[in-house]
Amino acid sequence: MKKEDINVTINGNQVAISAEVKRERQDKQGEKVLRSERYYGKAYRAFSLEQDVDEATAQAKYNEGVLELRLPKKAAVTAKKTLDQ
Amino acid sequence: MNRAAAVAASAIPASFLPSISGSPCGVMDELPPVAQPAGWQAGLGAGPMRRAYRVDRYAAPGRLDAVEAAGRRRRTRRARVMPGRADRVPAGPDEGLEKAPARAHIAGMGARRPTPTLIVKETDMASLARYSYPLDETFDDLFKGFFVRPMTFENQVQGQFRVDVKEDDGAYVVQAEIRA
Repeated sequence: MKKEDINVTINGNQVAISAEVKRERQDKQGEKVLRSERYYGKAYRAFSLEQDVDEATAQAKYNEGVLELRLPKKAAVTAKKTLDQ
Repeated sequence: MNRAAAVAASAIPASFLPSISGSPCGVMDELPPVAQPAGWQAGLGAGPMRRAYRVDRYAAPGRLDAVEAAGRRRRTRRARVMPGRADRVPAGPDEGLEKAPARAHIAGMGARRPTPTLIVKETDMASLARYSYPLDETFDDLFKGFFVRPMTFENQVQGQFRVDVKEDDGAYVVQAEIRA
């Protein structure tokens, strides 16, 4: 599988990874076709993390069949409430 | 062959009669198999196999009786059926059989040449029947498709893949195994 076939979607704290494979093979002996094969496969997995992810700084690497994502956490925004007497 | 020899030939057991067709004594000559009678349905294996024999002019009375008795025995044996199979057997044991008038020409034996007579006999192949255990069909339907899985190929993407998620202070590290 090529890295162009892999798609990663980040939405808040939800991460979705999908991959799609289309493959065609044909064995020929001269003009005679011995075998013709088409394969289509699709994989999808989505999960939620505890905190939101900063998609702008996320990194992805694909090496030897393993996709590695580094998803930085977004800084938690704490609301400050000021009470005026 | 004289009459005494023909009578002696009749001492042969009736079960051997089909095997002596074309015998040198000339008692019986085998004819091609006749067509299947219309009373028998498919499902009883090959169905009754019948052979026709032409009785020569010198056939002895006792021999004719033996031929007729053998046919009667076989027809009687076929009347025994398995439980639940009554709908697959003919209505009567003699249905579809051409019964030869075995004694019709005996009175004229020696005086004139009788017309060749057909005697229809069944062989043991007629008793073949397909046996079906009633529960076989039930279990066939029960497990049909139970062990069938979608065909997949090794080292190809399937519907799911393994994902490992680690967490440190500032980021999540996701490792997914996606092999082509």
